[in-house]
Amino acid sequence: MRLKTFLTSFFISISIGFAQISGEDVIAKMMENPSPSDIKMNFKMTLFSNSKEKKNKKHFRLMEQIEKRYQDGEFKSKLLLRFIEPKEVRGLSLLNWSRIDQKNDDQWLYIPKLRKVKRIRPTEKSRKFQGTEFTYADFINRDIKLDKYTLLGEDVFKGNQCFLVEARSIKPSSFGVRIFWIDKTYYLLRKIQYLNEDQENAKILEIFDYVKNNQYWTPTKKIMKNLLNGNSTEMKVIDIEYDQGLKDEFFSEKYLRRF
Amino acid sequence: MQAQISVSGEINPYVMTRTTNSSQINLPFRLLSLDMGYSFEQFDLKTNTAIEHRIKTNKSQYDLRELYFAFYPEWGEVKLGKQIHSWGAADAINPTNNLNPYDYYYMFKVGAGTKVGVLSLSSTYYSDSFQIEIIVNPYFNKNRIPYDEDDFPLAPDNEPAIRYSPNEEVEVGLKLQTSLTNSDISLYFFSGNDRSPSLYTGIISAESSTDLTMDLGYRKTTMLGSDFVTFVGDFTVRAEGAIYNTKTPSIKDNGLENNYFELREDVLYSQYVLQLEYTTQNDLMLSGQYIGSSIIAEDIKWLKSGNEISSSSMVIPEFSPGMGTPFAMFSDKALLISSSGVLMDDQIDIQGSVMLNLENSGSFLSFGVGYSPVLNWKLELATTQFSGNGKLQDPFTLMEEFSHVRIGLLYNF
Amino acid sequence: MDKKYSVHFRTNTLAIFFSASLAYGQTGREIAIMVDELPSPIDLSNESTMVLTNSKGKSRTNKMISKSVDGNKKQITWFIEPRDDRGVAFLKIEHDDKDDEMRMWLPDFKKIRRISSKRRGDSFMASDLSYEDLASREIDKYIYKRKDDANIDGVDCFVVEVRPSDKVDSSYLKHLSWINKSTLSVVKEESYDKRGELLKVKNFTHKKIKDYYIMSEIYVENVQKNHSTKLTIDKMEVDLGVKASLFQEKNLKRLPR
Repeated sequence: MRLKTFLTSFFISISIGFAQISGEDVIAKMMENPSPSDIKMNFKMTLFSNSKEKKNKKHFRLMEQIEKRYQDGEFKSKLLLRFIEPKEVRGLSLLNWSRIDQKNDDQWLYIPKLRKVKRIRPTEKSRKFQGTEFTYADFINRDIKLDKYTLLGEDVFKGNQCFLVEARSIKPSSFGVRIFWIDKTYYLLRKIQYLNEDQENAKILEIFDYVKNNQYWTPTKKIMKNLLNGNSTEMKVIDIEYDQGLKDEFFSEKYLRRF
Repeated sequence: MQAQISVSGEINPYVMTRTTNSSQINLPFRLLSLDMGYSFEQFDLKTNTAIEHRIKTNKSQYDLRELYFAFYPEWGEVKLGKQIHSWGAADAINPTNNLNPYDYYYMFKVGAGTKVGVLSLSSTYYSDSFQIEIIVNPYFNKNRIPYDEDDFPLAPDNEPAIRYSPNEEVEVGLKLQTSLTNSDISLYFFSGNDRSPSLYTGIISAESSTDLTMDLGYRKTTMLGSDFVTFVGDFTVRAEGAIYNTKTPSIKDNGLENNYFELREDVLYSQYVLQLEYTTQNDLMLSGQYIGSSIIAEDIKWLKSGNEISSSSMVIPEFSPGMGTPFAMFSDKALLISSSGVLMDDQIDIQGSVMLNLENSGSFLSFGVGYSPVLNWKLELATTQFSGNGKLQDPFTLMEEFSHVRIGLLYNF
Repeated sequence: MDKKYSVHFRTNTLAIFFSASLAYGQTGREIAIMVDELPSPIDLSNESTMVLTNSKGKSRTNKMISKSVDGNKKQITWFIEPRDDRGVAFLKIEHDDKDDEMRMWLPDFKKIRRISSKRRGDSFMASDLSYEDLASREIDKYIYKRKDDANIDGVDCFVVEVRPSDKVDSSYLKHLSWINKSTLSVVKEESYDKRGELLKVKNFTHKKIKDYYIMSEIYVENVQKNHSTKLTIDKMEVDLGVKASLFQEKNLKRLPR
């Protein structure tokens, strides 16, 4: 098995050396990795603050997330994220419907204390989600057709030889420019650099500790670093289950209000 | 003895415009308020009505807010009818004032305008050294909540269907007030039902595991409160506090479906205000209030068929009080600084207040000017600005889009 | 002893006609004591109008109904005009051994609010009269100096200079009072601020009711601000037998019969 994989990679590497591989090709190969029809996971979020008053202060959040991916229809995927701990945010939930086209994705936030479902407006998508370095937009599963991809070159990230692919939104959008680090061996996404309007590095998402469950590669650790203020948020997977046959009804506003 | 008729009121149209995008905030307001009274000997018949108007739809609604008889014997007073009571020595924020539900459409007004009148019997006995008041509300009344109001950011959407109405509707209140040297002190007791609904049961359909119904009802709450007013030098000190014990009553419904879960809450919480007031030489009144609320003890659990079930399968929801001051939803610890004064012989009046959230960053600021060039007519100009901590669950952040400027005309007659 | 307050005026009475012996040798203090000792009504009920006029000639009107007993020790006032003050009422009970009690009924709040009885210098209802102007003066806290007699509009008057001692927290340096020799009512007073500049000129008119001389009109001019207040008692009745039980919180909520 190992030899076969090695030889395959070797051949692929050689073939890459000769053929001009494009950004689109790299992305296409990344999308070829098998993807589950649904995911259920629990994870822990740690918020690191760089500010003087809260120096080295960490906040912990325990969350659960379910996600369903669609092969056809108007949705690409739907996601429901819920806070479990600490008590102050328990029950706070985010429902996200990612659509296949440029149409604005639907996002709702359920606030248990006010018993209120708030629809996240497009202007609010750039707001940070509950004090983390992830914005509401970061939860949107963006359709690959919406971006133009360019291969910039290669780089090494944490010991992995990676392709550098730039993703630029075709139509004007708040997503701007992102640079992906996709490793040459498994075509897994390792790092994303987000550039702001002034083409400066605004934040970086690092993806670690890929684990293979059955046929699926799962990143078990992600860190979003804000380069402007030095804060960062770490997401660490505690447990994960695939292909549970999660029903569509779980991703509804009604279920969002569930305790 | 001649009978006396008195009529007075005000006409107050106004417009609220958002500061962010100059769009109009479309919420109802009281266009006309009318107070009428008929007095004969020791009896009064009093009524207060309002016409509530909404600019966008151009619709008006008539609201009989109060209609009651008052009887004034030697020993005190008795009032019977639909009326509004006001308990509590502090200004604007009154944890003990729970006899009447709140009208959340008017939560930023001051005074009896924030309250909904209810059918009630009140009897007060005055002696030289103390007074005692007993109030009985025979029927249950709930808060008027602005469901589905896009222009009110804190408004919950969709009025929920309430499955469980209160087992015991009758509510009783008792107030005892006395003076000690230079202070007035009062004790309060109230036993009634929450004015806002809360979760009672969750029912999962046997057929579909995702078909989940959440049933709401009104918990039973008992309140013990106290307040005092005292003077320290040139300062006036007002303080008010209450402790509430709220319990989900057990469900007397024998027709509960299979797979129902009962939420039992038994919570002890408190709300309090400490106010310091000072009036300057120029009759400018300044006051600072420290407002707090806290949960003292809580026992919340899910039951299935009477037995407690572990919480890993059913998340214990965060406790939300159903009684007390509406401002408790903004913060558990806040500072409210207010000032008011008059200029130019009462022709101009100004008010300002700032609320600072001491828990997270968040504040609101309100400033208003009234100009009265002609007797009984006043031009009002005011602004309210909210600023939150950026998190969308924070009430101050949600209210940022409510920041507005208000222009109105007031005529008193 | 705490400062005493009255929302309206210290009433003056005349029961005794002083003979010519008055004219000789009375010191300022003695005159003040005579004025102070004039009998006052047992109870007083009145309706009054207060008109404030500013330097531009613009005026505002307040109307009130008042009742008092015990020489203003207990006082209750209901405000009638302007319309947005209508229904507001005010109860004051003076005590010897503790602070005075002042409570207001605010119809918009449906509450009785206890307020501080310590007010220094601030004006009563935005008028030119301060609470100090309306308060009764305790004899022993002032220093009196008799000045030359004078005649105002055909009335012979004692003229007494009244200076607050340091036992009193006053906003004035001194007052000059003209007292009608026959009725012992104060007809005019000039009040000087702490710099010694003339601040207010007060003119009083009295009316005889039963055996009392009671103030029926006060005209105050603040010469520095060019602003005046005229307080007129439209209707006045004495010794009606006003009950002490009227001076209770609950009566703030309805106008008297």
